[in-house]
Amino acid sequence: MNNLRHAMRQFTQHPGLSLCIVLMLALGIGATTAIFAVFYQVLVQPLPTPEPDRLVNIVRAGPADARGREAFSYPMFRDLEKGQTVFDGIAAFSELQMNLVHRGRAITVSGIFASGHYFKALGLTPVLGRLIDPRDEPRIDESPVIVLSHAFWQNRLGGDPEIVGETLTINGEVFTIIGVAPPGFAGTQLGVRSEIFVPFTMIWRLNPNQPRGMAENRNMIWVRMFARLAPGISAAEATVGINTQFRRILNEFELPQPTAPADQQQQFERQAVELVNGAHGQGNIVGASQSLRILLGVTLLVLLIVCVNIANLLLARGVELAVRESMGASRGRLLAQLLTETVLPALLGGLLSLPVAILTLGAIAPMLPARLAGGLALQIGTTAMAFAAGLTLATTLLFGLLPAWRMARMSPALAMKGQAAHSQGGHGAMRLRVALATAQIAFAMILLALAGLFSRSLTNIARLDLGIGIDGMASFSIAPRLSGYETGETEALYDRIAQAFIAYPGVTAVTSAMLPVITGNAMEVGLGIDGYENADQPITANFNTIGPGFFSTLAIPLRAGREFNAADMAQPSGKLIVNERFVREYGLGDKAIGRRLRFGPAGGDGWEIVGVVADAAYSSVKESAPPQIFLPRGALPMFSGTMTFYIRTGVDPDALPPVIPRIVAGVDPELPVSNVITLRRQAQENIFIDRLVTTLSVGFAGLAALLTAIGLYGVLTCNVAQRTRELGLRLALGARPETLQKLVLRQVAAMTAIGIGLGLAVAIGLGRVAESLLFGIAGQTPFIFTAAAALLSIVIFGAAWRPARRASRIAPMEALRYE
Amino acid sequence: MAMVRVQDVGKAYPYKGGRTWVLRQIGFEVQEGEFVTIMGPSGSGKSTLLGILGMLDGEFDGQYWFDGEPVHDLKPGQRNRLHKHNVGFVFQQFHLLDDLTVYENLDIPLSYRDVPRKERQARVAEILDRFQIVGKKDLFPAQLSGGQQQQVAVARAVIAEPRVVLADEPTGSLHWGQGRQIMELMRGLNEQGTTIIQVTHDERVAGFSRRVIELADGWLSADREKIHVNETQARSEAS
Repeated sequence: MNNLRHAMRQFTQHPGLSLCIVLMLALGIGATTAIFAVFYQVLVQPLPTPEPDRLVNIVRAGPADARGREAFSYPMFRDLEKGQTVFDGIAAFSELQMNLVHRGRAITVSGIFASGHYFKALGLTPVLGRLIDPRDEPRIDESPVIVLSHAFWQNRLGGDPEIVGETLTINGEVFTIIGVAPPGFAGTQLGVRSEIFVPFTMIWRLNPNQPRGMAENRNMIWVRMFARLAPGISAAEATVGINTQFRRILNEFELPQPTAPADQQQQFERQAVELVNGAHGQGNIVGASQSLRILLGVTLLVLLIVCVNIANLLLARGVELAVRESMGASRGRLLAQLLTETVLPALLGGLLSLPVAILTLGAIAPMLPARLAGGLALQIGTTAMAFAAGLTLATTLLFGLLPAWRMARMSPALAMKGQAAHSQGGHGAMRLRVALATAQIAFAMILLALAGLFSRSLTNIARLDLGIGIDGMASFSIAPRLSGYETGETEALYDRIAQAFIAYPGVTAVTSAMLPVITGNAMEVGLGIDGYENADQPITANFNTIGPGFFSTLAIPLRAGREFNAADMAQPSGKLIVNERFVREYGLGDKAIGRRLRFGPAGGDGWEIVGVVADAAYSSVKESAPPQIFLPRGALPMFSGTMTFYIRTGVDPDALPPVIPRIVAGVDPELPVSNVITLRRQAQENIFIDRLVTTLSVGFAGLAALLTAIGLYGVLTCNVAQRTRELGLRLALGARPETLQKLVLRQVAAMTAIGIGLGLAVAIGLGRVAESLLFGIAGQTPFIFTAAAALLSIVIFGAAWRPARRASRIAPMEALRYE
Repeated sequence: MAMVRVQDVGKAYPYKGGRTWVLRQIGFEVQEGEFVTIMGPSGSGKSTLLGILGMLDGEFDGQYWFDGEPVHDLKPGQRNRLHKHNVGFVFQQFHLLDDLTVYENLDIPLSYRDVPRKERQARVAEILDRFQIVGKKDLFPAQLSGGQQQQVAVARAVIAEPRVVLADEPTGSLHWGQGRQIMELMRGLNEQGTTIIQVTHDERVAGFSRRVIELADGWLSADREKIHVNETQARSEAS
């Protein structure tokens, strides 16, 4: 109780110091907790299911090919599902954005096609009604039932307890609600919050782009699976069991012809499945793992700097502790007192860290793509809170125990003479404080160097010529086929929408494309070029279907020929446009116009190149443009179900997104609009990992430099105070004030040199690790490291200037009377 | 049996690969109720010896018995307990705890000895009265003069009723007027039975004791009983 009262007294009698400690802790713990919250959700958090460690994802063994390792054919899934004995259910799933109309309101929702054992494998029970089970999959297209996620039921349907049995319309089809999933469950895919679940067999009815043949075709690889290990079965046993069955199915249905090439035979022989940990669900965010590890490391370094700072502040209490010991306090009592005193600021710092963490997450969220931000639900959950509490405890022990450890090494006998400053123990403590401050410099150097690398990388990205005029543009997507439009009706709808936007004030041009640009989406196709000389080289290109005026609207320069006009849309006439990379890659030179391409086997008239356009960021900001072909919008009816529109405006493009749904509703009120975004924002979202890592690393490095400056200032101030007598004596003996200033600055220079040197050595190593996240810059760029060292030196000498000046202004007589 | 008995006590610090001796082969005895001064020039090892006698420093060569207990053989915890129940300290720099009031500074040694709260209150009240500092009990050290601070420090040293008070230059930070008052206080304590061992280089302060042990370069150079004349001389100088 006495300790507590004394701790309170200490806290209130030194408000500046206390506030400084609390703030430093709040910043350090808050920043680390925020990054941990993201890290946990993306890389650690298990699915909210019973025994998530019994869940496994079923993937193909061996390296991923173009189709990835996760996908299997639908017949293979059904065959595996039927005969297996090692799992407590195999589940298949597929994701689709669906247009849902309920009580007259149309919205786009994230839906999951779930096989009959989906919920059983997850081990979930409903909060209302029942979940999808095998009886909901009698045959393809039958059983139009739907399970709602708990969040969807609560947020969109008001948690209506009578909802089971009601109907709603999905993609123009009427479905009956059979149940509500348990709270917290929103599908198994990372970064996607699925809102509704429908039987897997309904996929062909709801997705017009899903060819019927995919239900029987064993060469069409698109179904993803996970399973729950049966009780008493280990993952190794299940792997053996499922592979036996997999091999039997392959031998029965997919045996290559005896005349097949040897490599095809070998490939067939090698096929196997693997079971990988499914506790976290499926999917990942490209580049997120390494970025988050680096950011978590960065924030932990900042926190370490905070701890060192606070420990340094507390180390100044060595004499007081020695005096207490001389009065009979045992080391245990002193330890208890120190910990009690550190608990109070730590508790306050820990509590304040939560709003700091929330603010940090608030700063992170706008940097994420909207869908990902929603899918991740960035918030400080119980785990993050527990992490913050753990960090608070750890930091309390770290900065509280260091002075205690120091005390144990200091002779209280020397304190009796008030000699702690001058005694061996005092010098030892000062040496420790100097060493800690030097370590802080090293930590700050690491963070500044990394921040420099990331900043330069982002600058390099920003300097890229996208080849697209992204300013003054907004885009949105619609999926009319999901709202009941037939293939023949979509073209007219697209025209009506374009006209509605053209009529809107400020809009100067409108166009459309099947695949949205700068979103990372791409589709590849194999081609033949008439008269192509290098017949052995496979010809591939990304393709997109586009509306009239696509290139002029997106300000992509036309290099030769022409772009598509309205006539090309109305009656596809076998015309296409290629990009410069395509021309270069396949040696078409200046004779590209008029050349003919073919999809698949030769025959027919093929497709004539009518235009060549400049390379641009069709798919991604950072990747160089691949060979690309563009077809008129109506040329491939099977791909006409979804369309992204681009609106160029002469006014502020940010004013467009709010009015876009209204304008589309003016054309068809039951047609949901999704992905409404300005093109500049889209470009930013495409490089969100780079922006996130750079912004946060620069912020944390700045914080680290500031904390280091504060720490160094404290150490130097204390050092100068302890050396007052010596400095005064030097002055009395004839030293000039500048000499004393230099004396202090020389010490700072030595600390800086050592700190920067050590930090540099670590930064070089980390630069190599971070290289995969950098763009157009090596992980060991001397210029960046030099600039970071120079910046840190300026900060350090800025912090050292005042204590150094104080040293030069000591009055000799006063100093010699010191103590 | 002597209260304090040291024999061949030595103390060295590591220095540049070797060792620097600050105390060598020190041997003497102090009986209960004595008032002893340890004198010597700066660097002679006075304070180091006081630290060993006060059991704050357990790293020394030789033997040290306190009331028959072999301090040199005790573990740190045992040494701490022996110190806690027998020794009070007075420092040159007072070393009152700045964040505590006079009352709380006096309470601290008792709390470290796990004295019950009621008894602590009574003893603090008694010592405040005895040292005539009742009016200062709620003040913080920074609000007291140097002499008053040392007065509180002496009160703090004796509040736990130690058998020996060790004082390191108790008047070193005071002008002689204040210093004399402190020394009168110390003499009064000694007359009431408390053994006092002090370190000083001030002859006037030493004049309050009955015996002087002199150190030079870490060696014991003299151990002499002071004659009453010296005490009288000191009193006349003091007046």
